[in-house]
Amino acid sequence: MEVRLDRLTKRFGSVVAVDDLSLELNDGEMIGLLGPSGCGKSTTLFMLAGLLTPDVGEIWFGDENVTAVPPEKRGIGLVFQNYALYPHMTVLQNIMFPLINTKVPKQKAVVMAEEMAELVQIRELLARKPSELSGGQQQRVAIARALAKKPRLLLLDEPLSNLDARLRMETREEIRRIQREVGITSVFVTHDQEEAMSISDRIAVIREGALQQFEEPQLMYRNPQNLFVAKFMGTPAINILEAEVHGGGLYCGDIRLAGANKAKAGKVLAGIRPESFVADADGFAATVGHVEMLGRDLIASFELGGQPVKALVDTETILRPGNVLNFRVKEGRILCFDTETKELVGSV
Amino acid sequence: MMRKRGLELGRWKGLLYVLPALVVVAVFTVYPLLRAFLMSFYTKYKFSTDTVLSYGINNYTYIFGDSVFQKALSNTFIYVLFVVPISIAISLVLAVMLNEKIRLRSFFQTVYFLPYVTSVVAMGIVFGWLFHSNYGLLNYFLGLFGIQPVQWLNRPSTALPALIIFSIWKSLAFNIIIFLAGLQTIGAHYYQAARVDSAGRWRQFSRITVPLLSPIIAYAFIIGLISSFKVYAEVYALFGGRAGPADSCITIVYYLYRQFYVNWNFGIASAAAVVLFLIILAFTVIQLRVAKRRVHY
Repeated sequence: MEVRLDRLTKRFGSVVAVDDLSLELNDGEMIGLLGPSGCGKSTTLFMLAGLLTPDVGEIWFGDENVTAVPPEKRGIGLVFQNYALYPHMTVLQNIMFPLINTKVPKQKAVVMAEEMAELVQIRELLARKPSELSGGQQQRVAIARALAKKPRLLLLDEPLSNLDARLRMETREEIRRIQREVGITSVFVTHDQEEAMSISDRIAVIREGALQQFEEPQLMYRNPQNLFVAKFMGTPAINILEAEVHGGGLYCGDIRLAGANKAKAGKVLAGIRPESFVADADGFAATVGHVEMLGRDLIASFELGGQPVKALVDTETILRPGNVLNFRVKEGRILCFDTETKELVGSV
Repeated sequence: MMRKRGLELGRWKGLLYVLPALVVVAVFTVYPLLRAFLMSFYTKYKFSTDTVLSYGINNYTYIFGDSVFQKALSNTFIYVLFVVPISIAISLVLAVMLNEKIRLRSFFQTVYFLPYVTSVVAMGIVFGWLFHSNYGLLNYFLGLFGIQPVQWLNRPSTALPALIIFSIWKSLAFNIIIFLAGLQTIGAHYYQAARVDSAGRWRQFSRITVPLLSPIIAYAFIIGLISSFKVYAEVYALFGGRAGPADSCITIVYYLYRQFYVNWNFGIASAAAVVLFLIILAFTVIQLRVAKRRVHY
């Protein structure tokens, strides 16, 4: 089912939680709503669920306007951040609850619930209470319950934030598998950009209630529309340098970073991803200040035109503070942002 | 060796700390309890010299043969049977309503809590007026529906229902307060989840609220049972010191009081007290057993 959010606005008192937000979701697509905490992404999700009503704007499920439809009639599945499993019910009763509520006969509900348990691989846990489950297992039960009544839309509110790092990786793959298997249109709220990039077909970055960019993960990473998105996506974070275009080149201090024939002369903010630096004997020289070992790569800190920079370096050579390296920046990988509007103006 | 001595010393020190409390409990609770239990077996007793001339079970045989005590027993059971469940049911509904985001919420919460901090005697007087056969508000409302005035407090058949109505109203306050406190602990996300799971208002109440509140409900039941079995002040206040018309509202504690202070039958009063104690003990044990199976913690 396609979902359309049409110019949604939601205020809490004087605070604008969601500001004129429009999104269109394709059928079967997994959308990541990404932004820092308090940006309005959960508010958006709860409006999709019907637990909150937008002050302005409309929500469309297919060609049905559901803006005023209460959650019980919307046909959505919602996975809460803390799972909100009913503590007094067994896993089976939890999964069956939405089915019984919608008047599915008990026999049939049990069969459907067992199918769901199969899908999320928790069959052997059906007789247990939520308190007897691990975080990851509770998560699966929550997904099974959300999917049990065959919803039109699956909503996930920071579903991985209560899991430890390793389990988080596993579970996000699992969520992706289940979502693909069921083929359900889904919205996934997270503040973790890595999570959003790994799981989503498209990501909507939200800041202070307003949509910043709505794009496929790879394209968004490569071409962030503005400085906020650029900084938000990627770890280690993108380097932002004060730079200047003059004489057909982009300079940071005295160092010429790239040729910029077509660019307008003047000051820009240059965004360079840490992985965009490559070793080059003809490049600029940098004295390594600090080295951080990540495993596959390491992060070398140095100064570029007097400004601190971090670059990813392979671990082939042993690098120690004080060593001098020569770098250049990969062609076309310097993102230039306007110093005033912070919008992307081009890349060199 | 040293460590063991240290432990021993610590134990004595600990005992020393709790000693003041122990003394108070011993003097005002344990001693009277034992004394009452013993006294229930005194068959010949000289109050003036505190000498017991003979022991026996005559007091027990007397009360079980006494029609007034039987009346007190059955009245107390009927009273408990009606007051406890009805009060809990009404308070539960009111607490859920008061927990909603309604206008003047704290005003209503205060209003419902007022009976708890009001003297029983004052409330008895007010209810005396409400139940008054000629000027009472209750009969006025009944009159609106064409029902003849009821002599609530003056006839044996309506006196106990009047007492029960009064007591239900009076016990609402405490139950509402603990239910409200309990409702605050139920996370809003359970209700959000229930709504998404297509549960209507009634199913939210019966499948989420009641089970999650069950420890509090069980607690209210135990407290209600115990205090209702001990009912006395309500009778005294509502009927101006009598046990209702023709003793129709006599309760176990009222019987006990009368035997002790009015008739000076200390042995009989003690026997009644022991019987009451055993009844309450039995019900509390049963209640705890049931709760263990039915309550979700």
